[in-house]
Amino acid sequence: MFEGIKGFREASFLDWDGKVASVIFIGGCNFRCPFCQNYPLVFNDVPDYPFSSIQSFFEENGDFIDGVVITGGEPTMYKDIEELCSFLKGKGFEIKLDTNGSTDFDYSTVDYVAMDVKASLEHYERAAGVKVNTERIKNSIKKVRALKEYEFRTTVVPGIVDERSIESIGKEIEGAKLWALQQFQGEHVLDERFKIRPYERDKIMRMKDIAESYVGEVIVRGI
Amino acid sequence: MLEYGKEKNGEKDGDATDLALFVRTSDEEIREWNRNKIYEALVRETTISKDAARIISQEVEKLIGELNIKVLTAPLIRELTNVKLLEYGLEDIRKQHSRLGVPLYDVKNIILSQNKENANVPHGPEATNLTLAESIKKQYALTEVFSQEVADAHMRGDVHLHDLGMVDRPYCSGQNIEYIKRFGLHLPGALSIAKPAKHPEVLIEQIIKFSAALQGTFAGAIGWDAFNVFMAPYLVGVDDTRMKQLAQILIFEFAQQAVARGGQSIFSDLNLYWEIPKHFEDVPAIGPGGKFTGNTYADYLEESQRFVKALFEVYREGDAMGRPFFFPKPDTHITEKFFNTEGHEEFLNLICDVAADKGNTYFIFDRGSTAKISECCRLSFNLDEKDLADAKEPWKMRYSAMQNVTVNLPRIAYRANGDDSKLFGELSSALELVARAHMQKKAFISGLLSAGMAGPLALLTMDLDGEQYYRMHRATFLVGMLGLNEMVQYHTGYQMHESKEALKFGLKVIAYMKKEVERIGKENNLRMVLEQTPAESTAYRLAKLDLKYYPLQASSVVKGSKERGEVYYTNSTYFNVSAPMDPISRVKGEGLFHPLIEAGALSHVWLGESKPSAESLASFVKKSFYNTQNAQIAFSPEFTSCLDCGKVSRGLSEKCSYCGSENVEGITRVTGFFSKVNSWNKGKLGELKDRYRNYGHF
Repeated sequence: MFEGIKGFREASFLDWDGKVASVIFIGGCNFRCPFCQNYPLVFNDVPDYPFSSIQSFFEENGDFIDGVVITGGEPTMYKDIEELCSFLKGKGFEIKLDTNGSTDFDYSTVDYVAMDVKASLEHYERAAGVKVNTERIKNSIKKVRALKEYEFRTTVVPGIVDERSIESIGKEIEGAKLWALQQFQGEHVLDERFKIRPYERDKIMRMKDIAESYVGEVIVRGI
Repeated sequence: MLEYGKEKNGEKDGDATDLALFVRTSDEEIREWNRNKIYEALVRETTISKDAARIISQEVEKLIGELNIKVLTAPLIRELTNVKLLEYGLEDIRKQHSRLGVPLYDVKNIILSQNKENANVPHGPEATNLTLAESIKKQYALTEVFSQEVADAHMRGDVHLHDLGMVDRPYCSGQNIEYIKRFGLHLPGALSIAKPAKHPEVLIEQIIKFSAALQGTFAGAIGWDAFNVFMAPYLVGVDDTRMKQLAQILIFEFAQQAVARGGQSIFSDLNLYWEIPKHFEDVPAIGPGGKFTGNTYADYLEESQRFVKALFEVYREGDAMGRPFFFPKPDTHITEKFFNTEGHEEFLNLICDVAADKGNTYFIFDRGSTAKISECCRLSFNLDEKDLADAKEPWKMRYSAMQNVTVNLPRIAYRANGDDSKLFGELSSALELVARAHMQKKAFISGLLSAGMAGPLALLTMDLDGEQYYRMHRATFLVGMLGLNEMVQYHTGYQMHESKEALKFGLKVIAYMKKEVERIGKENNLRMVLEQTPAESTAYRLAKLDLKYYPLQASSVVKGSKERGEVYYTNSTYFNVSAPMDPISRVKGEGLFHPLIEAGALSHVWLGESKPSAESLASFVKKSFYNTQNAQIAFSPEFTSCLDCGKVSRGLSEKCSYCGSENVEGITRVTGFFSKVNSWNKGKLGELKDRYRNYGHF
């Protein structure tokens, strides 16, 4: 059952605000973001994590788990994603899905969607590392905004995201409920050229100020 | 200390001496040689016969005459006398005639380099005084207070007697501020006496001073019960600004007491409640001027809650550099009533935010009708019926642990060599020995207390409420355990996180210890209880001793790095700190031991550099309360504080992440409390490198 799961974090206090969450990592991705930290998953050269271990963890410790985060890679590309979701639902867990928004996944099957908006749409290729059909991204933004619980996420990578990109992204998601700006970590990245110093706190706080004029709430993670 | 050269009305042996020598005495004088002084000291200090003393003194004089010594000191004469005593086969007399002291080399090291036994002791003249005094008192303890059998067992490392350098004090103390509110500050030997405080600022000052006085008579922690609840009657009508300021005064005053004894902060604990604990609800409240207000504590819920919120706001801000406060520790009680008290969600989020951001919060779980008072790394007392009767007059609530003795569990496994019945037999003998150590300490402290106001523990003998301050009949005697994980690993081949069978065996050992401790305690009329030893230096010391005496066995289970000498045993009943266990399994698994360990247990969740969401922690805390048997948890982040730019970043790193300076201090929990990493001993440094920090893993 459920081959292709590449990793499992039993209990996370970080991946779903307000919840004690388990995190399931799916291998494979259609993007090649140069600043990606989970790049072994992108190239899918990680051995499978046995699903039986995940099951036995849920049996013993499921009483602590509020929800399960499915991340990747790009989990919406996983062949068994629907079955996995219904399996977790059946166990009584809520589901949060992390996605890059490049597929036409039906988000209404999960409880929470965190969608990346990685850069201003005109420079998306620089952030994604591949050619991107930005119409799909726009479409996903629309679908996600119609959900009850969601967030948009932008990792503030020097060279990819600056104050102007924040304005530009802000326009795309204007009126959204929640936007998370995430600090970038330059230590383990897909592209060696992005082993660079992250932005200083002050700069990120300025970005936050800009972002706040577009959406309901802005949070900063990782500083 | 009595020493040669002091004038004494001893019997003289009559002979004049004609040795033309001068002696440097410990009275800072240079005196003419006088053989009588040797004779007098022997007769005064030992049970030697006068004839023998005369012969020995003549022999020593002869020896000194032959040796052509240029600088003759009183300590040297004593050592030469001791050699003569040994030559004459008078070993017992030699022991009585010992000189306790510190080699020159050690004194130099102590004065010039840092104390690594206790990370709460910085370096400075006060600190080195403490170290020197402790080193002599430790020798005294092992020679005079404890029997040779007990002293040898400590020195070999079968057991560890804690705080030997403070042998003339009980271990730790938990009490209630009602004593100060009611009686003011009335310390024996003090030059002035203060009436009960009228204002909260003054009350806080009196509490800090009393804490410092208690620190002078106890070896370890000073804990205050339901602190915010008992402050509350003083806080009626206090506005938010002043409330916050009071919280700041309290925390900063405690945190900055490193100017006190031995340059050591008062190891202080504040027990805090969101609700008014059931056993204090109907207790008549004492207010300004030490007068009963006519209300009960249930009437002060609002003030009590406002104050505890203010305290946590101060904890969240940290010190001037944004670093966590090391002391006083906020021990927050989570009870059934907590979850039934309005506003608990918001308060839980606040204290979880502090836990995530600064790490300070301790979550103490009092399930069912349990009531506890916590007073140090993890020591807590379950209040029994007698105590709950005392709760009606809370100033009476004074509890103490007399002493803590830890059993070296891995060594017992080495000796048993795989044989179950031998293992449990050895365990019983070790616990019998611990009881003897406790009896000896109890006798010694009772002797000091019986000297009353004229004695060294005058403070503990003061009697303001019809009872001596130190309530011997309520004292507990702690039995700690070290390295259960390594014991189990040696005995079964698996560590406790590796196999269910190994875990079960670990539980069997602790359950057996609990039963034996109760039996032996009863037989000796001692309240003996198990405690998780904090083992800040013990984990290192006993691992080192076992590598020396049981090299083959110990090297197969000892943790840390043998090459760097950074070795340790896993504390108490903990799982291997480096085991990649998720926090749920750890809190549940370690929690299985907690109901057996009456005097307090704690699970650590090491956070490393990550900062979880407060609400997620709150969810975790709530589930820990309802779904596990765990008695107490704390979340420990790590910090790097830059001494150049003054900024603090998360995680331990060699360089400041803001300015790149290498002039940084690492800060995290050493055992049950925060301290600076550069003050840690080698064993703890080894453990720090191993700690599993709950990062994601693929």
